[in-house]
Amino acid sequence: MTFSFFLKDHINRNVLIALLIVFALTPFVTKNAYFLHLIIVSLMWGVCAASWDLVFGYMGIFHFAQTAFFGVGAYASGLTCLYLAISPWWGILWSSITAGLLSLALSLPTLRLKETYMTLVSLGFVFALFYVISSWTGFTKGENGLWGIPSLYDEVSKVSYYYTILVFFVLSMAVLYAVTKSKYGLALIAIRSSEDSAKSLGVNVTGVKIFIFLISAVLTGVMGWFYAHYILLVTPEILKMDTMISVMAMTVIGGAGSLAGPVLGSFLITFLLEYFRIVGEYRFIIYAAALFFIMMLKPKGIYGGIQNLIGRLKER
Amino acid sequence: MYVLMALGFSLIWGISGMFNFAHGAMYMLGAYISFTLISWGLNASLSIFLMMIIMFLLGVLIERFCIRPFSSYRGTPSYVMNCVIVTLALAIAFETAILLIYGGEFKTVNPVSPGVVILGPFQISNQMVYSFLFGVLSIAAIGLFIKYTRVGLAMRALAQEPTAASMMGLNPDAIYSITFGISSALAGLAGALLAPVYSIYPSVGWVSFLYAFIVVILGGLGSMTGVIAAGFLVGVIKNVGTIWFSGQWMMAIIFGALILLLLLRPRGLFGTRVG
Repeated sequence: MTFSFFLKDHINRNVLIALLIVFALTPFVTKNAYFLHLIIVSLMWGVCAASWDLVFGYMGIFHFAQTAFFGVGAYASGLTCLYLAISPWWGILWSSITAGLLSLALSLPTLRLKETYMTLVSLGFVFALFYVISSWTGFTKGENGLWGIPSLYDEVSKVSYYYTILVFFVLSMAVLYAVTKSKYGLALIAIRSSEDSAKSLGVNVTGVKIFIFLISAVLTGVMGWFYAHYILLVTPEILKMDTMISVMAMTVIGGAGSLAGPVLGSFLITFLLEYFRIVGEYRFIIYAAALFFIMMLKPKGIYGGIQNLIGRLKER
Repeated sequence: MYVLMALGFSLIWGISGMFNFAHGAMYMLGAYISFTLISWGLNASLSIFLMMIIMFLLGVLIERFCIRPFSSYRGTPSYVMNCVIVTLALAIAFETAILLIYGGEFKTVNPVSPGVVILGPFQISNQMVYSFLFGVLSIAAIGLFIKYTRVGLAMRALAQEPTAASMMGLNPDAIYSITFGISSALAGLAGALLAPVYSIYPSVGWVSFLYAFIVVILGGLGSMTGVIAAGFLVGVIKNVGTIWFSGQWMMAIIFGALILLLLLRPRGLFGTRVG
């Protein structure tokens, strides 16, 4: 998965610029708040899924803590704004710091061990966090959630939010791209191919893993910050398994081991869910079936499929 | 009961090196199947027995159609990942299916035999005694099975040295199937035995799955005595701890302790191998 991405790395710069222009101009074409909302949500979850994929697809570690970082980012900013009455923009700082610290608390003990420990411990971690937040009613307001978080903009239209998330999305993607292209990215490939040989060549395996995990957590924490000040309500619900399953489904269906795949998956799932509301109850069965078939048939997901198609067309 | 749950989980982890995220779903399914059988008027013990056979077959089927396609990756990290995703998908599917069939409300299962036993200062319901005896018996049976039968021997051989074991003429796929079946049956048994004590609902499996994994990490991977000891330890800690803390805080405390334990002694309290 990883390797083919780097070999076939023909992300067309023109396509990217064209996409960016389309996204930047969208609010001029349609002022439909609902449509903009869907794009905002897709971009937000796209960053979460892509940074989860940095750990999953590139590093080969499956963990459940992505929603924990997201939720902690949201709560950190929401709580400081409510109790200290500071500007919501400062919240970015608290969100990224708390998400980063949380990732260290999780990664320092577990990443020294086999990947599988991370999977299990992160699962327990999310549950523990969920219980703490939902039962500490004096501080976090428990199951009722945090109400009255200050918003970023005082306007009714979603255009400002749209541009904010677009900027953060581009920044996050740039960070993720830079990480995969840096020496850390190369170290990641080395670790994934063979951890032992990477170690013997002097790669600080644990250090690289902890660093990558930290980046992924901080980016997700910032998205949590955005969520808190966009939705204006944070409940412990966002820490539940359902959210994590959605992020996982986005990544795997879109195509793990790439940056574009999870974003594609995020758009696909968000829009499909909104336009096929009737499925409601059956949503998770559909997730399960889609995951199942993609795992069985095409582990690279939709993006991998598109890449294959382009490759074949070019051969002709 | 945590022991039962954890044993099955540890069995799969130890022998094929994969995680079965559907293990919690198996617990839940076991509880619901025996609930249904009992509500049809079957004898409780008989229905538990039937349920275990159904769960065993289900486990074998799952292994055959969902896990075996990945067998060429066995032993690599991507094998574990694929298994995690597929079993997670299964868990979601089972949970939603049960939600659609039975609805989301809590169901209580009638105890096998009502009434209480007075044991010194404690009052213990007959159901608890029944579950306890049944649990201990099956743990002993599994222990003997692994230790003294040919299949058990093969399982241990595969856990230690998969390549050598298959060279000696073992069919690893068959053994993995059996392991998966036994593990599912154990999870189902735990579910069925606990259903009358606690009530059941579609997502009940996750909590018990969580306890199973705490027990496995605490007890150390690949150590059956460790798992048993840790199972009792967690059970006692949890029930004694709830005197001072609410159940939800207890969860957080147990996890804090678990992370500390992993920092200081990653192989668990009784384990011999470092994971």
